[in-house]
Amino acid sequence: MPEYYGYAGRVLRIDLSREKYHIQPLEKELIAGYLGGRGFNSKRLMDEVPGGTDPLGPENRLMFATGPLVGTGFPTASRFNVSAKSPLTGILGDSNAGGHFSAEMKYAGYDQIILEGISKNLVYIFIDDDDVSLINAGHLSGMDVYETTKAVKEEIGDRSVQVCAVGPAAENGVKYAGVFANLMRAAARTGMGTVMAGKGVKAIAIRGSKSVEIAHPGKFERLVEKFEEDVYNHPQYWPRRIMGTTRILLPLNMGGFLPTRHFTTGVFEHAEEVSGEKLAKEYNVKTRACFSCILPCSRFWVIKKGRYRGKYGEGPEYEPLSAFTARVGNPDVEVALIANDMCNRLGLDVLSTAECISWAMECYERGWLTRDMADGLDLSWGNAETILTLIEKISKREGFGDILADGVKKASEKLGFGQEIALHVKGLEIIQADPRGLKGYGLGYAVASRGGDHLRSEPFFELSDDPERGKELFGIPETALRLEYKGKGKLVSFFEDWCAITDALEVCKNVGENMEVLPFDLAGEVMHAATGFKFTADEMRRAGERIVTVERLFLVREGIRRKDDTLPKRFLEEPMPEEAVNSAGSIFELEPMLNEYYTERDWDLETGVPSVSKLKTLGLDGYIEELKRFDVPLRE
Amino acid sequence: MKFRVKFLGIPGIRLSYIEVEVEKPRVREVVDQLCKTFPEVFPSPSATFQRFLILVEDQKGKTTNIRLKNGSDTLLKENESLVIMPPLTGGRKKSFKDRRIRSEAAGDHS
Repeated sequence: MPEYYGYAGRVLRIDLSREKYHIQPLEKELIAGYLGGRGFNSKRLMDEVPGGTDPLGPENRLMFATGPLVGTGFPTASRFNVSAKSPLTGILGDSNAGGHFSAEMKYAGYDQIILEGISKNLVYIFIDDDDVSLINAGHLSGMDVYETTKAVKEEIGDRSVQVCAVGPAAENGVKYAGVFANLMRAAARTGMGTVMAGKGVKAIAIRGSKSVEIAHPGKFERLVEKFEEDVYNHPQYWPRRIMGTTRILLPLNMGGFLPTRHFTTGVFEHAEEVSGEKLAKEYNVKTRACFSCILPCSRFWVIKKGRYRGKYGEGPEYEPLSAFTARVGNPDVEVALIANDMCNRLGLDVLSTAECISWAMECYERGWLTRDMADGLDLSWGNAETILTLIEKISKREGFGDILADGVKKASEKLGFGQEIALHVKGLEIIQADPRGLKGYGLGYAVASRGGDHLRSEPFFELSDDPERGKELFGIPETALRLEYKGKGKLVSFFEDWCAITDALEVCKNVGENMEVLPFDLAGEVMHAATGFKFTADEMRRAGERIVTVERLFLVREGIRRKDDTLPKRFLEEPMPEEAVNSAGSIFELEPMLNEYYTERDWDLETGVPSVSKLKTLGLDGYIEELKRFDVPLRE
Repeated sequence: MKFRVKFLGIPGIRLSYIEVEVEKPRVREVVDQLCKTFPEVFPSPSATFQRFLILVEDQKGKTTNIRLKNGSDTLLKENESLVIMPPLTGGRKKSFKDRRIRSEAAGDHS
């Protein structure tokens, strides 16, 4: 009888400084408290990366984690989290990607891989079941993600080996470089690729021959069938299958909260020309799915004519599509396709890159930034050549690109202007939805444990326009209305917990959470069927809350307080312009929402630090002495 | 009366809009006509109201979910259009709290 069901039951630790590795058993208490994936990484970061650690020093740890459902065939369970202290933000760094790497980790026998220390030379790591080799990668230096992946597969002599790699941007120390699996499955936020390259690792190749055991196969099979039926019959199934997340570009534009020309307005006059519909009609040629996914939402595109004739690639999702069109004021969808592909190959986070470029464009339009300061580039809105040139320059840290390569916060500080329009939270560039038109999302950006990002909460319910349902589910009708702020503290904390367990199980959030097909109770049932560990809906939610809270402890240990849970001035002081009809005049009401959120979480209203009683309830009171050592103010 | 119906991201429809003529300027009448025109995509009015998001758009582009008006009985004014799209939210009647039934149905027989 196997000791573990669902889990591989082992953790691989690789000490790059000493060129040694060892395999340890997965701790069962970690499963009970944190489920897997993001939960495992966040807990271990809090335990193993001391407060004040240099993100690019040997003490930082880079962790890869899968979840208990990965490799079981459970639909969409194909994700993995990459986490470390972030070199971009100085707080928790974490990013999540799909593809096939995660399942291969399980088949090789690992729930988590932890990289410690720094390698003397550039290496790639080959994990072949229980054998781990560090292989010189000097010859791969400077190669892009595609070239690296191809070269590693060729050297190993097995095309089915799964590879995640970093591009030249990471090697050059760009602070928002990502880790890329299956060429373009990007764990790109918060600079995890920068940490990987900083540790001297160009790629990780993995191959496994083990299997994952299921605790209750009959029940598991029935739950899978039901889950599949729900997905196939869902009204979002075909739109997502045809357009992926690009389907939301036009609705956001209609709603007046499509970030346009660096969030100076919420409507883009060229939205139709750069929409998911346009891509589906004219460019997409086939779809592609992640491991064990029944909703293949990724798309391959080909440009058949014009100046980019013959170019091809995969994606883009909504975020890069709107980032390289509306956000930078570019009406040419082909430029966005090329820009996204360049970022994937060079190994850059598209959101941080697009924010840096659009911020520079606004500074230029305002007359703060001149051509002389920007290597002679014309930074007018939508200048295609400038957009593509800057991506290249950022990745090489060349000229003006070197300034932008540290992120928009540092760039604005270094240049001494534009700080009030640098759109980030805690140093992480914010995503592609204007918080003045989506109050719950905005609160989510303000409090997210990795900085300005929606994937920690994704409170889509506020788009439902269903106040009766809002009253029924949350006791507050306004939770269902995107322009209202009342009830959003409650809404965001609920969805944060939901996102945390989805990330811990490593199921696709687009399906599990956004399509509402894997709520807490069903997740608990699936967890029981797969692993044998019983979790009620309440216990699942409690695990989600524990993950969110341990991440908050990581942040407060680094000095984060209420003052940091904020949004850029633009959203707090500038109402949405009249042309954004459906969001016109709206402004972000931060303080009442933050009060409500802290109250809901039982965090101190003045400091934003979780209360001692909350820590005790969640079994996190063991951290109290550690927090005291860092002068974190604690109240009962 | 003629009303414009705009489509956003509806699989199976490549048009961005059509014009629909109805006797009574009511959302339900417009949707009835739509079901007759595209029976494969909109098999019945009840399925359409259940599965899609339906908005009323005025001349300035201001949209309101019919749920926040008078539902399918909403009367359309001259120069107003309908916008139909797949839901942006979960878009299911059953959600969050109603899943216990499903779990029980799955049972634990292993």
